[in-house]
Amino acid sequence: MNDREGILPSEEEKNRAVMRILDTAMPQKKSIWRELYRTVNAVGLRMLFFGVGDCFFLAVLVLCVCLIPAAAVMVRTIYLASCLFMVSPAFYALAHFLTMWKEYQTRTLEWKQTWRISFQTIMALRMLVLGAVSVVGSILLCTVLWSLSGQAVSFVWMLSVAFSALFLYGGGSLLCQRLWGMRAVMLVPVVWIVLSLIPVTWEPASIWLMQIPVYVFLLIAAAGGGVYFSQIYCLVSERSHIQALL
Amino acid sequence: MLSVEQVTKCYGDFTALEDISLEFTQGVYGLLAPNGAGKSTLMKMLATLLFPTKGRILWDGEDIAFMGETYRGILGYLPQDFGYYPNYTPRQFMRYAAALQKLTRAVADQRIDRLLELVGLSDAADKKLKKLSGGMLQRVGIAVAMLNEPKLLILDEPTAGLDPGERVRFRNLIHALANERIVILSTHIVSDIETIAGQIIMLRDRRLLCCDTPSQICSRFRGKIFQVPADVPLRPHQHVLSEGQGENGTVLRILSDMPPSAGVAVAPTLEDAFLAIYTAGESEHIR
Repeated sequence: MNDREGILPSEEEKNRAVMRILDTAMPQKKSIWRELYRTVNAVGLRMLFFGVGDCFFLAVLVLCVCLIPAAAVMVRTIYLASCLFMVSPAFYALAHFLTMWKEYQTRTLEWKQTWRISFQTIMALRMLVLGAVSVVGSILLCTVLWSLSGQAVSFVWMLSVAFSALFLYGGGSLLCQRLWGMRAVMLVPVVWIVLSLIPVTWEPASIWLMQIPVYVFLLIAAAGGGVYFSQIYCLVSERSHIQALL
Repeated sequence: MLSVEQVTKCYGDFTALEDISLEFTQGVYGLLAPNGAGKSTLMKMLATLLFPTKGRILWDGEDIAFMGETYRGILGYLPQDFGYYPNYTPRQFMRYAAALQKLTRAVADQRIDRLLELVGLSDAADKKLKKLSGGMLQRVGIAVAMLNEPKLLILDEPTAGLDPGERVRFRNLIHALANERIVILSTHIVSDIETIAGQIIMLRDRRLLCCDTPSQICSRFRGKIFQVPADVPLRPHQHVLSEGQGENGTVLRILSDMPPSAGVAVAPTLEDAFLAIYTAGESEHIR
């Protein structure tokens, strides 16, 4: 009897084997969004941004310093679209860049990747919070500019410009990060600034931007949003994503 | 049980590890090899930071590549040269790590106090991390890796940069943590593991050279290690392993198939075996 006990699997081993067979045969559908919601509830917003609070302070400070001269240009109606296009994703871009840079410099990425709540999940949640804060920020910016410009252009048109820029940047930056890793985290903001400066410094391009109808910007925003959320999904579900950053 | 089955890892055309097969059960395993031999690559694969190009790694028969959070729940990992937030205290940093390990605040606080006491940092629990010494930081690292009470503890070069006193303290700590779990410790410093590791894994030329007990590895060099005065001329095929001070001046420890003139046979140590394998190229003895 004792020999048999040594050979036969224990109750725990049997249960684990049964669970494994069931998991393989009938995999449960896991909703990543529900998983993200559960995580943020369990961990709390403060823990999501643990150690990188200074990055947000710095991002807000830089934005405040830059927005004062930018506001002077933006109130000229001709440059409204080009300036909005450049400024809308600025907070998202700065905060994302600074937090990633800090994680990279403090060499915490590798360690965090081995904890139960993976760094991909934390990153995805940070992106979503940053995106939400940027949406609110864009609405506020549009409201202020709309008032300052004497309601010269449609408020909805201004919002569509801001959102198209924000989602295009958010989706594009995540896609580039997935493809090229840490290099993209540094390169994408620089490319965005250079591209945005073209209409700001070249009047015909600025005029052309002002003539683009609202539905085109809304379509761009919707497409950018689609890319953004699909990349968030990939970020959480693909293990290769984080390897590019390590 | 953790099993590594015919694992190969390539980076493009470069092969970092080739056809590694190992089995780990409860106890301390020392992964001993010179720098660049593929230790960190193997450790990172065990920690799911990298994935094998060929072969697979199994935990209780299940491929760790597909276990995700379940595997990370039983894993404690201390990376080589790990990062931290210098302006936070060990307690704050551990609370953060505990939250990401899905521990409730009450359980976390209890474990943090116990672990800080175990690693001898209760007094430094509320000092900023930037004010701690290298050895103290390393102990914080161990405490963080132990937060989820892991069944598998992986420590990548944990003693690098520590002074001799801290190394001894660290060895004692690992010894205390080794009950009821697998501890895998990589190092290129023999003295770090010769007293605490039950099994030594050696890698050479990207392949597994051996996985054996320290005494078994040493026994393969029995009758081949001699101590000779430093002024005795050496013959071909006699390799100097190390030198030290004897009663009559400097002496050499040499590897030789035949007893040298004026030489005294000495019991081989793990350091002799390590040096014989990696500097004198005597891996035939170990295969």
